[in-house]
Amino acid sequence: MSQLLNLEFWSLVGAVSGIYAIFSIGLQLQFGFTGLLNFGHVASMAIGAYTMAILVVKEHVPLWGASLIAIAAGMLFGAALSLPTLRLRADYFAIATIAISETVRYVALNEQALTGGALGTSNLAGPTQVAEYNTDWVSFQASVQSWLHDVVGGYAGSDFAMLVIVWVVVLLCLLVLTPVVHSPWGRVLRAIREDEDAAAALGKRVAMYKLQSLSIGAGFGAIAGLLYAFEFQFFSPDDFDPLTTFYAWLIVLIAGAARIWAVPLGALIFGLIFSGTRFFNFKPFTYLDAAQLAYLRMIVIGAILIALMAWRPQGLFGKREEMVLE
Amino acid sequence: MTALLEVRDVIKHYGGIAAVNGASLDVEERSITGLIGPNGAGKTTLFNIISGFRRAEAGTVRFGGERIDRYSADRVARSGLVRTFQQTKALTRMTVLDNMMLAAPRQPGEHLTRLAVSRRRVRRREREVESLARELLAVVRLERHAGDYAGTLSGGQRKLLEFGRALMTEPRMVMLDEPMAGVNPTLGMELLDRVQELRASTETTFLLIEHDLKVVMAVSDLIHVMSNGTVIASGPPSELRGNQDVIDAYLGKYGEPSAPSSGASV
Repeated sequence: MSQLLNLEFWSLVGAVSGIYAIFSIGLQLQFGFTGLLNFGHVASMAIGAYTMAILVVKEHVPLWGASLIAIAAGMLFGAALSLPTLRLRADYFAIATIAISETVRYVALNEQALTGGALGTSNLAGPTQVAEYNTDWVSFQASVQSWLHDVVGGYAGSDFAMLVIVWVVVLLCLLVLTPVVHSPWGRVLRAIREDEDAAAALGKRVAMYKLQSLSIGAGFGAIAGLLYAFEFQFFSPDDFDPLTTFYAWLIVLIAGAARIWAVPLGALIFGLIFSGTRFFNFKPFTYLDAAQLAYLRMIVIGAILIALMAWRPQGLFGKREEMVLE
Repeated sequence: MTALLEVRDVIKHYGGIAAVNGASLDVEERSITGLIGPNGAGKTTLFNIISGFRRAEAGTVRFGGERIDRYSADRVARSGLVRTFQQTKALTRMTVLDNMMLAAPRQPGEHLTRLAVSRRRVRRREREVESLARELLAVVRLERHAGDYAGTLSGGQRKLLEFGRALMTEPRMVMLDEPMAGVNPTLGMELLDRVQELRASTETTFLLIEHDLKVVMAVSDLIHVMSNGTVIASGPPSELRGNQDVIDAYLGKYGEPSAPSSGASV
């Protein structure tokens, strides 16, 4: 039971939820506002993380510069993703995106010289030396931690510092994006979501708006990728499998489509469901062995998600009317 | 002088079938022009080609002297030629007011860079656009629904919304695809009154597809009759009434007569 009250553990859960929140905000823009079925969102995360790590380890670019370039690379990737949308209708676009994200992952897996291959970032500088991209980050996090220590006292561990950093970034993302989605620009995105032919018939450059939406969404994905890389200090292509994309979809659907501020709450609920189910250490669960418990946990997670969707198909903060309108 | 819209020898096949087969027509500036013909005559296909939603295999379309037949749909709309759809395209999960405001041109806030640098101009334009939208909503009798989701409107109301939305773009010419279908007759007649008023007050040009011949005859200055993909007759309503070709087209000499309300025209 001690873990249940462990601040470090919950800091980790909170920080990871925050990273997923940023990741899902990108998807919310693409899907919730623009109606684009992006099933390959994880690719932007991979590109953000890998671009940063490669630049730092191989090119000795300073961390902050490398991070900015990584976000730009993510946005460029998102813009390129819009090229198939010019020709493909919604469901075909979805298939194309999942294929593209898997392509990105396989390239990361097989281009060993560039990415370190299956061994991940520890292999970035070649097999003889262990590569680290996050020395600058560790010292930054330590200085945040010591500042927090002065403010809140002894509770401030390094995970707690990460938690604070991540949620400050979440807040910044929301503050930047909120006025943008409620602007005339966001109105055009929603029009494209509803009916892109109608938007075109009113003179809106549909392709350009899709490009911008995908690009900005991928930018958020890249930021999430950076924080993910900093949080875990190591990553490999396995971290960017399609499941990660679908976690973001879960979060967006739990939150409700086209609700920016609901996304972090959706991410927190998602984090709670996933980590809260680790605490099945009371009767009758104690009759099961560890492997059985692990399976049971997945079943419970599935049941909770099904129940949520049955109870509120529009998401926790979505509007029911919007589900039934045709 | 030349007409505002000039369509020349347009050809479009779907599969092996010629939906439009060498159609030509003119629409004079400030006119109300009707486009009639039996189902499957190619009226909507021709609309789609003029408005840039489909590409013709051959032929030209000129609008205000400019070749527009290679333009994308959004570019055609920006050049001042705006259309509505037979199957209405209300943006259902947006409010009626948002539907209207969306259509307004010259909103700097639709561009990310200008949105960031000139917030005051964006807000000022939003206020202008909103009052304009409310005025036009009053014209199409939807002012009470301004805050409702467009998806809650009836079929007829959606036609009116689409009409109002097209007008929000400050068009030089509007193409209406069956504006009366599904609209209750009183409201429909009002809509046509608005068309005539707008033509007089804003010098907007109208081209409308309509099945109700009585209605078309009453409002149009000039009518084009299509059958089997070509324009078989053109003239003022008084001349067309006795035209044998037109009567044949409707009674089935050119094509099989079909139920007037089916969605057969593509």
